[in-house]
Amino acid sequence: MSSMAQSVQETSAEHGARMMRFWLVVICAIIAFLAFYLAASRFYYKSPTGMFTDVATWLGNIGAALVSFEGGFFTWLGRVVVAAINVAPLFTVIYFAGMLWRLYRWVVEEHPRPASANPLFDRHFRGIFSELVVFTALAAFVWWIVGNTVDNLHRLGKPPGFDFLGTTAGFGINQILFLDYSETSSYGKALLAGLLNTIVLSLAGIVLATIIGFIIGIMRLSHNWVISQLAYWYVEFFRNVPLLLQIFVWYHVVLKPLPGPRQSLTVADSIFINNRGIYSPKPIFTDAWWFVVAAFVFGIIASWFIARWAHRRQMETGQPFPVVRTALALILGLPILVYFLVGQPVSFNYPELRGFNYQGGMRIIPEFMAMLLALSIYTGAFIGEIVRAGIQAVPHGQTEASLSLGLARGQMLRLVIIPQALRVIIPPLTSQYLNLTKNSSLAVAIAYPDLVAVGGIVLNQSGRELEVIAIWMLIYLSLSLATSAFMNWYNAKMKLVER
Amino acid sequence: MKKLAALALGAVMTAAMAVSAQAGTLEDVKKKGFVQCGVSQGLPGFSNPDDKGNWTGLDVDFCRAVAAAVFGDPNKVKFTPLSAKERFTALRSGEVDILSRNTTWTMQRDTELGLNFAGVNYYDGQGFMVRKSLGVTSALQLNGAAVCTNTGTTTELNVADYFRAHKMQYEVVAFEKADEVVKAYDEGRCDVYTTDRSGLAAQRLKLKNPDEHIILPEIISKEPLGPVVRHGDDQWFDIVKWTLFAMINAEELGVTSKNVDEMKKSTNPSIRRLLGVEGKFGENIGLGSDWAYNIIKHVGNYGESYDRNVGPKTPLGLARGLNALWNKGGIMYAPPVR
Ligand SMILES: N[C@@H](CCC(=O)N[C@@H](CS)C(=O)NCC(=O)O)C(=O)O
Repeated sequence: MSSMAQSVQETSAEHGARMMRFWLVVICAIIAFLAFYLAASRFYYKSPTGMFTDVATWLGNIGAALVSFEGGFFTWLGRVVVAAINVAPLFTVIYFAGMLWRLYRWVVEEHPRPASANPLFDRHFRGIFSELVVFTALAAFVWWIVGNTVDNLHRLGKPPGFDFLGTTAGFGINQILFLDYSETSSYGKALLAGLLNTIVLSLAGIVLATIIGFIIGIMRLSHNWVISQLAYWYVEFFRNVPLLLQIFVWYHVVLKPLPGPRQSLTVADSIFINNRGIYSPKPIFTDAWWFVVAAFVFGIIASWFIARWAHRRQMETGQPFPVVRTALALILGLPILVYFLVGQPVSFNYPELRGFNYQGGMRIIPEFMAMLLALSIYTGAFIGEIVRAGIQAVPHGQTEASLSLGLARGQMLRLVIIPQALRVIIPPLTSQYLNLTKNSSLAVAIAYPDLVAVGGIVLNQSGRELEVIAIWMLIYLSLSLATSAFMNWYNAKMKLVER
Repeated sequence: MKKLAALALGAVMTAAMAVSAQAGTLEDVKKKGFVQCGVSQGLPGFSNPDDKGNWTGLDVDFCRAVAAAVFGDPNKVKFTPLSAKERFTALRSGEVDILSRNTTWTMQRDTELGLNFAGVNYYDGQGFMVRKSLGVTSALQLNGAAVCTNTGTTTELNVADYFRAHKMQYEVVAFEKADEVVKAYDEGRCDVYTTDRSGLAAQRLKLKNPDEHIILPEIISKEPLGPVVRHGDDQWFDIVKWTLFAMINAEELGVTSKNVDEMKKSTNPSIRRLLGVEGKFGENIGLGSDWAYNIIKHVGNYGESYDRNVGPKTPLGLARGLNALWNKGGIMYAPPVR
């Protein structure tokens, strides 16, 4: 319907409302423009066109930077971040344009209008208007902060940027996993090494804490008074002593009584324990090892198909199939068989005492041991309570019902109680996993080189507070989001059991 | 660590504020009535609190000297203990007015990090300490050793350079808190403890059996330690710089805390200028004409402070060596007051 035709029959009240709407749009447009102009001019103190020149230069540099990986990679990464910050106002312009377009549509188009002539009582208009106001305020605030920071850093002679990540680090790190870091590597690589140390510590901690937690939770429900009291006191004690204190105690408990390298405790002439860590033989795989790996992968895939087939058959005919035993045979038995068939394709590199310390083999440093013990024992106490609550949340009627259906005790636990308990357990368990990951940052106290410890060194040696903090926040946020995403997925999967 | 994060956030916040306080440290200091001085978390001889929380040491004396120059009162100073890792962030974010904490003057700190070194109050070099029982006599025998040290220091960089240059393996165990380094080394986590040699002499006193440890002869780096201020306030930089020069010049001219009152009557023009009897040197840096008199009267000259805190008669027992005056076989040298 054309608006012209409509306006002919307009009453004066309708006309007033229309004019009011028109002026509101004009006001919105002015607010939007002013906000954008203020923010953008604050940020681009040089000139508005500077932004486009900068972005073009950076895009041009990306190609060149990609040529050499290490320094280049981080330079590149930094440029992308800076470029993203720079084009943000561009997106804002687009966003404002979109909003104005929506307002315009609202003026010219027919929407179900309320009786009132006042557009502020129109839900549709209010939606657009409040969104615009909130967004403008937010954008102005963000730009004010970012603009000031950039300005002041320029004035201090430290323009922000991530180029420093490509600079030579120059310091050593005492646990390097899956990387070839040395003192001549870059700050970026040092941070990567720290990140890997955080991830490995957190994962190991999560697994161990879960095991401890389930044991404690189940012990706590035991009918045996001594066992349940033991679990009770475990929980009360470890939950209430500050974690940092526990970390220090474990570190010095691990360190103090252990002998020096020359008087190491020895297990079977191949594992050595001393105050520098636990050393064990390191497996060295020959090419034939791949057959074993292939057998293992095959075992997993075959087990999966067998489980599906067995499930379907049981649904149709009611005949059970020993899936677990078959799968075990396939996943463990088969590779072991292949291992011997291809002639044991593994040799071992034994640690040996050379000079001050053991060299070669595999090693767990005492700082890792102490962190792992402290984190998993502490978090295990919380998880124990969660498990107890989860199991107790399943009504006793469920037990009675499954027993009267003729399920065996194991079947009852596996098929009825645990699936229902897990629904209650998983959400709080997720937050414990997140806590453990964040608590792993206390590692800095005992020289375990996690992300915070290494990041702190980088921050101090390079003087890049802003950038390092941004990296910390981004990484811990991503780790947390990844953990919750995984746990949410698992939770959703577990929920299906409920049907 | 929490503190480092807080400080760093503080620095970021300061950067985010519209007007970051840059110049005017002297006015700020006068307004609040004391000098806020960043020191170590406890390094005997340099900056160390006693049971009652009274700070003493060479670096602490320097803070008091600045307070004496500004207020005529060496007690108008407050101390902020800082780990090596936190110190620059604390200084830059305005948490402290001066950093007087065995800090090595390096080019990167002086330029990129936005700091100004006011001079050198202790010429040092990095060394290694080991257990005597290891039978090691030279740093070149340390291949494969585990080395304990502090993070955020020149130390952790030098040790990496040294071992790499001599193609030796090592494992670095780097703690943030100096006391944790001492503890870990004492418990046998490391074969070697490395830091500035003055620091080794000081930290050694904290070991269970100091006599069971030796400091190896090698000096692997230059560590000129001195007080630091932040960029952007020339007047404050001048005050801190000339506080140090006044102490060194006083020693050279034989002016001590005991004889400073008589020295005011001296006919030596250098002494007369230093003590404000002649010229307007104090006024020109925004202080009273008796600025240097107050420093010497209340804190003493450089030599007095050295002897009292780290000299041969103290538990640290450090000979003057490089830190003797330039005309007494060392390299301590201050530009003239004129
Ligand atoms: N001079 C070196 C090292 C300074 C340093 O922090 N040394 C440690 C070990 S002696 C220290 O003073 N610790 C005392 C403390 O942190 O309280 C530098 O400026 O980086």
